[in-house]
Amino acid sequence: MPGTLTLGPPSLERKPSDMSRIRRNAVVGLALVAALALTSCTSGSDTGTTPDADATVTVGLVLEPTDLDIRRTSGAALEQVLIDNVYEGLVSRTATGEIVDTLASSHEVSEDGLTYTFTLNDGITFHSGNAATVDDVVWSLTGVKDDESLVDHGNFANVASIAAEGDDTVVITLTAPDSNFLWNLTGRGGLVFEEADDTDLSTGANGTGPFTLGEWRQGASISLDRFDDYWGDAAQVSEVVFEYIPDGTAGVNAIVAGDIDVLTPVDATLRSQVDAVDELSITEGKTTDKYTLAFNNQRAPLDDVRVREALRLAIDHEAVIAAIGGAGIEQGGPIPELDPGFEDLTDVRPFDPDRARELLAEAGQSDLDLTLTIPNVYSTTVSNILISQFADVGVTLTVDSVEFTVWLEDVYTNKDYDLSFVDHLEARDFGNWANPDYYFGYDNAEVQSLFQESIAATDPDEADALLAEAARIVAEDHAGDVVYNATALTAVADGITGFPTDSPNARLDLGELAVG
Amino acid sequence: MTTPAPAPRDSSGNPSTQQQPDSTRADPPRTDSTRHASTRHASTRPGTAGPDNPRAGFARPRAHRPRWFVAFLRHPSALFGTAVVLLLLLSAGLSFIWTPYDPQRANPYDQWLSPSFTHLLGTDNIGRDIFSVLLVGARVTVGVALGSAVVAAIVGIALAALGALTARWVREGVAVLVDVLIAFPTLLIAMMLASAFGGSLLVVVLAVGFSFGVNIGRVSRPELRRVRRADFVLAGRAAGRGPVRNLTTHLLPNVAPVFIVQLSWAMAVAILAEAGLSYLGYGAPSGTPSWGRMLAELQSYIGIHPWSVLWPGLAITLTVLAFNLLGDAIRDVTDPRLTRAPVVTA
Repeated sequence: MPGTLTLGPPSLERKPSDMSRIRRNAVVGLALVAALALTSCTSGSDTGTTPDADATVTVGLVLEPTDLDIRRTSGAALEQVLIDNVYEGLVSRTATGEIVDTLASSHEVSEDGLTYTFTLNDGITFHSGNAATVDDVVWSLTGVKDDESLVDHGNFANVASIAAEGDDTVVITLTAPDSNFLWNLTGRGGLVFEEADDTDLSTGANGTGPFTLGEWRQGASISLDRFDDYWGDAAQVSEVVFEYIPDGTAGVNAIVAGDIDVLTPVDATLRSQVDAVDELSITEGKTTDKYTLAFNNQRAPLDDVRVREALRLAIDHEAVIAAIGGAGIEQGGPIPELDPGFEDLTDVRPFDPDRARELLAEAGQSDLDLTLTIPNVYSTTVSNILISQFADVGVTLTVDSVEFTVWLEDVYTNKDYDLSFVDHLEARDFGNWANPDYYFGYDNAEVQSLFQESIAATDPDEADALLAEAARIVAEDHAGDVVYNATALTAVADGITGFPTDSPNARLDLGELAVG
Repeated sequence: MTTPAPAPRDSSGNPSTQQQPDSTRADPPRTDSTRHASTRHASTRPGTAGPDNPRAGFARPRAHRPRWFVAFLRHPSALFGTAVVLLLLLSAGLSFIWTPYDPQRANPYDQWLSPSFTHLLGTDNIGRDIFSVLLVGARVTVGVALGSAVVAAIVGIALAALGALTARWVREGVAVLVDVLIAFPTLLIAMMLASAFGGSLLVVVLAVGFSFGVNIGRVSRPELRRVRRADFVLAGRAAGRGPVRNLTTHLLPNVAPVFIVQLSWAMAVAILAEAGLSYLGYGAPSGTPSWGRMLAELQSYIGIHPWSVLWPGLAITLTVLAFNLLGDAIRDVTDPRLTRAPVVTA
């Protein structure tokens, strides 16, 4: 694969030599968030009352970033809080995964898919007070292209040049079409920083967003203050405080007691505690959190498609979702509903234990012992159900609950596992199935070529169709099983509107947040 | 806490009682109907009680068993402890033959059922029968308790013997080492081992066994030191018995009461530690039913389904209490010099 990892966490891409550290960080972030997040929120509609412009909103989150350097530190926790609020890029993604202009007032992609032209908005100001210019944009993007230590560097492998044209236009040319390039610009790689700035990004921030970084009390909270010179529509609250509450029960207790105004995610099994409070409402949002039971496709007996299919047929996905409190939807293929290329593929793996037993017998594996490696940050609910349901078809499942670092070492890096269960929360990460070196070990030439064609496609619809075709092959090959696609539950106190509902563990764009 | 009240020579000075200094002191309780009022008696009796039973040995207390046993039976703590421990053993044993449901059988559509005749204690978050899981979980509890006791006994005997019977510099070195080791809390040792080798029941057994073994060694050392100068030991040596032989025939039987009491407490600590470590994810592997795991898995629902978490909590509490009380009772019955149990904690 030619250097770009389009789908997937940018830093999870495939250059083994230099990227391992970043990759690892990215995975850690994603998996931890994944483990803890079943979230969602809702945007309330305007109640008609005048918003309180001096209000402070306290938001309860689970996972705290380890460092604020958004250019160098991977992890969803950092993006969730800082992108769109403190830092902005030329383009951004909405909660439902669409691409919208942000600092750019418009963008244009040439017919051949090689030239991207962005026109900048007027009056963009950094938090330092200086105006943002095209030179800052070019400097920021060129940095990602040239500096291997920056997150998302790999996404810029196809970039030939980044140049300013006039005062308000930036032109990016690629060496080959990349249907994911614009999406990648909505991530870390596309953020705009001030060239002449010397802020220590590890503890401070200087972006162009509607909020400035207030105070980071490590281990406790991060606060954002409204930036009054924001170039666009000013934020409607004066301060947002993110309180980090790692324990799901403690989080629910905090919002029930009124200590925080918003909680995301809410542990679905505890939602009745929130429902019991009249002043709180719970919203459900879609996510791209794919709680994935990975099969080691390289290792016997899981290299036998009959065994893989049997395992999938043995799982009663509906029951699993019931057990986790209903906060999930079934997903039959590798692509979730929010991502391009989605197609309902649940019919390829109906719950059919009888057929599963037959398949295992055909494969000569009627009495099978498998080990499931699972990071211990995940609740035991799913693994306990898998033990029970696999036992039903004659598969003895041993659960090996390990530290996340051990999972990274054994499963992710060394691929020494039978089955693994983690949450893949990144949007558009289908590329993992087209990468035979990924820990899934799924090597299918047809999927790989379809994926490459999809990347090279200049027509978005065509790109989506190719992805869907590849996804169907992966699903019918039973290369892995998405046990469920999580639904995000967010509890919001009455009077608070504009909190994002979908994908809240990936991005929390608080530009619309208001207290009415 | 077990420093003997009488000076060492007291028990060895009289050849007629040389074989059983401890069992002679164990005599008063059989004449006392109420152990708790016996402090004064205990301190005044040994001299008179000794001659009562010149032939009795603690290791072979044939002649005494009935009376010793009666005292034990009259001890309410002993009865309670014995009953609960028997129930525990019975549950663990029963679980191999029969449980109402398969303890691993999940049925998410039946989650959180209330206690009823179909599910005696209700069902948990994925629809497993709590009673069945509790029964099977008793196996882990019993296994950890016994395993820890064995490890603790081995470590304890080794340390006590090294600390009491060897050359002076070894002896003092071991004593200092024991003092250092005793400073490490059981849970800390277990967590260290678990993070180094991965959590498992073996780690729990080794950690608890080791740290309580150190305790036992410390407590038994002065006892050994006391009896090693006894005439009967000297006589044994004169008769050509080697140190190991002497240890097994004379010394260990004489410190046995202390040992048994300590082991009983060690089991209580082991059960508590297993529950705690499993709760933290360092103990029983997931998929192995254990009371600590049940607590861990159910605790987050305590606000919504408080009943579910009650059962494993109750089981742990009762079992630990039973072992503690049993230890106290044995100590009371066998060693009249102590009438108040020291508090045992993990």
